[in-house]
Amino acid sequence: MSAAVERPLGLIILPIALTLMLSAADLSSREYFPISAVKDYPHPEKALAALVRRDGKAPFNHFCIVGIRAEGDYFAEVFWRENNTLTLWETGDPDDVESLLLSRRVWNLKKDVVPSQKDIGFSTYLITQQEVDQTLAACNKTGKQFTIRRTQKQ
Amino acid sequence: MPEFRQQKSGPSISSATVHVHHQKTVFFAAEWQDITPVADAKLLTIMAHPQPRHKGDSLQFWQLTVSGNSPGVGVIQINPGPRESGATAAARKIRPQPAKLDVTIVKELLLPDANSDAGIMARVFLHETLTPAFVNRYDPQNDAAVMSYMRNVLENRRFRRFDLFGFKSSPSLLQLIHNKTQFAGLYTYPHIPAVQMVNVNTSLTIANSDTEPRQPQFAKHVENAISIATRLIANPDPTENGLYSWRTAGHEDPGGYLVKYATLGGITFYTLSADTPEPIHGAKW
Repeated sequence: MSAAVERPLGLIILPIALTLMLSAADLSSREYFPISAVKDYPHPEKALAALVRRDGKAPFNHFCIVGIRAEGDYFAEVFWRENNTLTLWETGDPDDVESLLLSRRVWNLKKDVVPSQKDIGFSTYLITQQEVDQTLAACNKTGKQFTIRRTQKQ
Repeated sequence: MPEFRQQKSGPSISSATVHVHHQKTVFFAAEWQDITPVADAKLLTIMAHPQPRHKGDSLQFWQLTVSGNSPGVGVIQINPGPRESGATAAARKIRPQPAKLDVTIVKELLLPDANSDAGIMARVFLHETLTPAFVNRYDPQNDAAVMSYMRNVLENRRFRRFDLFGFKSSPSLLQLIHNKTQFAGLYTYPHIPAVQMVNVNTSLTIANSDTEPRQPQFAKHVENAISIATRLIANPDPTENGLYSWRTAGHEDPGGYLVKYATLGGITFYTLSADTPEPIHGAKW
């Protein structure tokens, strides 16, 4: 049975239409910037140290962070060499480290990367090799590198 | 002037929230020597513990342990104790007025059973949406709408074009999210590593906290997830062909039959293009 035909019309959410933003998520339109250019990431070392305390295994951990402008918004991505992950870092409370620990996307670069756009299919999270390559190249060029030593877990 | 405080050295407060079956600590400070706390025992229980008073301290502090017994709105009244009555008639005339603290006792927020459809959906919503911790980005106005769109996606995949996901008939929600590569970290649900469920668990913990300042915002966020997940019928899909996917905003579009519908709350939603082939397994819209 289709759920669609039974839905009452009175449940429509009206305010949504006013806030919709339509634009293209095209990799070629992305702009990369150092996170020091915005005020949202004032303490990257503290955030990375917290991440290493929670998820780190290696004694020394190497990161690269780059800011990304896309679709009229911006965020950062964090490459963690030892864990081979790319983590989405959306802006949170500038004074704490929680936003990185609460990231909605941590891509395992071995498992979560597909060769081309058509391979994404209906996935809500897989990313293409091109997107990863582009981000890492931009990180090397524009991003900031960090080395974080793992300390005792608290 | 007698006053209540959240922290001993913090500012005064006039109200507090405590969850049923939880305990909250507040402090009461006054120039009094002793106190008699009073409250409606159906709603809450109070234990008062005097704090050491050092020479030169102008105020005596009491630590109040407040336990929530049942939901409701109550008042803690602190009456001056017998020793405040004074020995003389004149002293008794200036007996201090009681101090009052409004207390709201709220029910603990619990997610629906993890194995129920509502429980799965509530956890997907909390896993995938921005939490109020993202103060610069979280959009309380659209929080419920984002979850509503997500429910549209899940139901369209189950009931409308399940053929696009390799099913010959309508799958269960569990079958749908076990479809590897579709939803990040959920294909082993409900057995998911704690680190994958950090957003769900953090939101729930803060929503039920009696001390966290962001508790009201997180409670609303969790209530939105429960409300959208448990309602009998989903909100109408805003698109003609149905919402079928989402991606974190700013990341590559999936292409194929998916075309962008809207970006809301840091999530881009996709609908099916008009040239999507008709169902091949007899699925009906």
